[in-house]
Amino acid sequence: MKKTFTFIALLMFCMALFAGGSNEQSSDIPASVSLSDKSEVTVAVTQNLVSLDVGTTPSGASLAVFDMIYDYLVDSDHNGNLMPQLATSWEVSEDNLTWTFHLREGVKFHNGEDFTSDDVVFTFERMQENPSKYPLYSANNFSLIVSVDAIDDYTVTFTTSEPFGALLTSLSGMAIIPADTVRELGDAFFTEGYCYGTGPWKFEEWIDGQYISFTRNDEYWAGQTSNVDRLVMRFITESSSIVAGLISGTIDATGRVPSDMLSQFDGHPEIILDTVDTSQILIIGLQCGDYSPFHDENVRKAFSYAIDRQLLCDAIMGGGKASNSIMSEGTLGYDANVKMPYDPELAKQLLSESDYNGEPITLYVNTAVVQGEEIMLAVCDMVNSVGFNCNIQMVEQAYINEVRVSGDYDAYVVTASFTGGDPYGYLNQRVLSDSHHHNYADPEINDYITLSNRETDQTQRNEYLKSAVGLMSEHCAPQIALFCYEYNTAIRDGVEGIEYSPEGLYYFDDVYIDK
Amino acid sequence: MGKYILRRLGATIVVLFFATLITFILIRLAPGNPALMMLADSATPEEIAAMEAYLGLDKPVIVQYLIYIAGIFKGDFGTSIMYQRPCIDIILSRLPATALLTFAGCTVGLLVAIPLGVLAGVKQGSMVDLSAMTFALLGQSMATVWLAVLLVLIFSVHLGWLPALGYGTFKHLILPAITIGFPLASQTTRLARSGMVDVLKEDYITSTYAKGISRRQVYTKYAFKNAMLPVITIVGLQIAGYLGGAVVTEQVFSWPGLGALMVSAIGNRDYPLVQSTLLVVAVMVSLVNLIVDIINCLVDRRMTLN
Repeated sequence: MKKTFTFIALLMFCMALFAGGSNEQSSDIPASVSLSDKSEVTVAVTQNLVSLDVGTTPSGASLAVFDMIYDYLVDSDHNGNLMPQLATSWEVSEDNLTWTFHLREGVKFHNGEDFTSDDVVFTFERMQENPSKYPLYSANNFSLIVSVDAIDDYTVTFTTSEPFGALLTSLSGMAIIPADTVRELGDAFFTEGYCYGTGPWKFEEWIDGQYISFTRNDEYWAGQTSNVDRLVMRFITESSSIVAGLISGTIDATGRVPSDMLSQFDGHPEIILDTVDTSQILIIGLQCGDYSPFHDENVRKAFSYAIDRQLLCDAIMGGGKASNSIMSEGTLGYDANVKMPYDPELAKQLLSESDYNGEPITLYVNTAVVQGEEIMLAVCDMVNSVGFNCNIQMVEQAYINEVRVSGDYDAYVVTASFTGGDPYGYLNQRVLSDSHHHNYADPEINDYITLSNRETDQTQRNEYLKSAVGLMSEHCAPQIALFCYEYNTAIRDGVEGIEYSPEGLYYFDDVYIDK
Repeated sequence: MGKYILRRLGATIVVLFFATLITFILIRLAPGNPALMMLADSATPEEIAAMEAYLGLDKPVIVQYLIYIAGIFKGDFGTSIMYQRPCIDIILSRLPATALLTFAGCTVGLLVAIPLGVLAGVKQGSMVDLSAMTFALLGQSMATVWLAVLLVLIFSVHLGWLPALGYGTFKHLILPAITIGFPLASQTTRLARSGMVDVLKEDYITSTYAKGISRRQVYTKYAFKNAMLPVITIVGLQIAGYLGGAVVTEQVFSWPGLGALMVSAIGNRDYPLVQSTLLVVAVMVSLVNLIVDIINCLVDRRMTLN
């Protein structure tokens, strides 16, 4: 029997050894972290990547990945400014329904094929044939595009069913894929690891739950500035693991270090800490239907005025910027002149003038909100001190989605960001179409949003959006904002070119090592 | 024994049927709609309805279940809503990491626990016994997440000997295996010790002494295997549990196992992936239980498989 036990123990040990050594990867611990002989950079992304298909719901991880491999017709600086990328120029017809894009010549995909108008047409037709399969279709409002036509190899027209003021912003989120190969391979192009585009980095390998790696594209049409041979993007959800990885040398950069972990880097001068102001904003959606206390504007205002937003930033978040409206600085529609005061005395007065009699109010807080529980407990404390009877319930995103569809809530708490710095989709769906069933409709606000939709001049659009957002802040409906997040970045000294955008996203395509 | 195994395998099919049914019902009872998780949160009712139809969620629940069961018989476990890839491909890509961590963790645990527990049982009341029981108390009191972070701090951050996270080499395996193995070792040490103490009080052990057999022979030949019976049962249950995924350990070490996959699938209401993962786990748990029963019978001839 003793032999049997010995055998079992040895068998298990051998299995462990065999399996452990069978899948050798490159990310071992370095004896000492020196950048001078480094040609590989490893960055940590806090979300897992679930798909390489460009039609999937945009996430922080997928946007970072697509930016490496693909290019877009229009590029965004993430502050609402748009620049040519695969399209060199464009013009819109007088009726604002037909957009003509002139494409860049001489651009090649990673396999050497030429980029032409056929690739642009195919990229959109693929989604239009089965819009349900591609969440990006609804996310970027591509349903307004009636047709995409190739005029010649380097000219494409987009025809829309109605004036689409945010078309350029939407296009800045649609990666262009190689038509011939995807026609031939179908979804296997994305699922079987064939992915390639015209972008500055070539896809190398994706191991689900671990990492995705890229190699530098030395033939990039815009010129290659990176001296990094290989970039590895690791998907790590646990903050303490990221911090340990940075200190031990496994990871070179991350954009999300919780403020209470910053002291871990004391005594590690090789890790450079910085902060990034983002346009990612914490929002409270209010139920304005007559079955909720927030139906009364005085109650909504009292709730908003009772919150000391700056204190939340300073005492809990360790940074951030108090919001005056649901738009953040750097986003179209932001107006610095809008005021959202902290005035508990006024809040008490407004509440006493309302019909609210201390009915319990539950705030549904998404568990994914960074430090959501601490923040909202503090908010409850603030509003309860002026006469509210609020409590919080931490729930998953799936739960929030469901109550928003049914309208069965008093308030919910989520984070929001505006892709490309343009709130087009956000305002249309949440305010104009009321897809979250706030039961709030202000004709004046809706008119301004409609005008902004039809306006193709960005400056004029901005004015319309400012008016709409200003009125929303004035009436505290249907949503109010608390603050914009400030993220702590940690980057190994010498690793340069990483961009943490105002949307709270990461872009690594310009990474290089300063040797 | 062949008949017994066949009968147990037959019973396993019944267990698996109920596992599929319970999983199917429970995940649908949880609030949330997979179509909403797939779409941008600004989706219109029409877009939500179209996505539900695309995912097959517009059909009656019973029809959805029958389609799911029919698929299993054809080897089709469904397509993950999140990944848009066959569930079985995703599970099989994660399974080696989970199996490796389970077996490595159990190996670490048993290599520590059995010698220590046996020694503590034999030398009852000695310093060895006291040390072993202190070790057991410490291991069982320590939260997994605390232990994991502590190991990372010592061996990765301060000493720089082992990687803090990741998967792929033997070095990557060491810290997660210790994290899994340490609590198992402490629990098993107690069991091995108490098993040894109990067995050494048995009459047949006294008679072996009377026959003049050496202590060493008594411990190894007569006492050891009977003392190990509770250990086998508990270790079997632990292996079954770890095969379902060691969520905390996987999270801290960024270990790409089934636990992290399942948490993510549940959070995203990825019905097919949750159902398939739990079915695969149920199969493994059933098989491990069967193996444990067979080993128990081989060790203890008083037990019968019938």
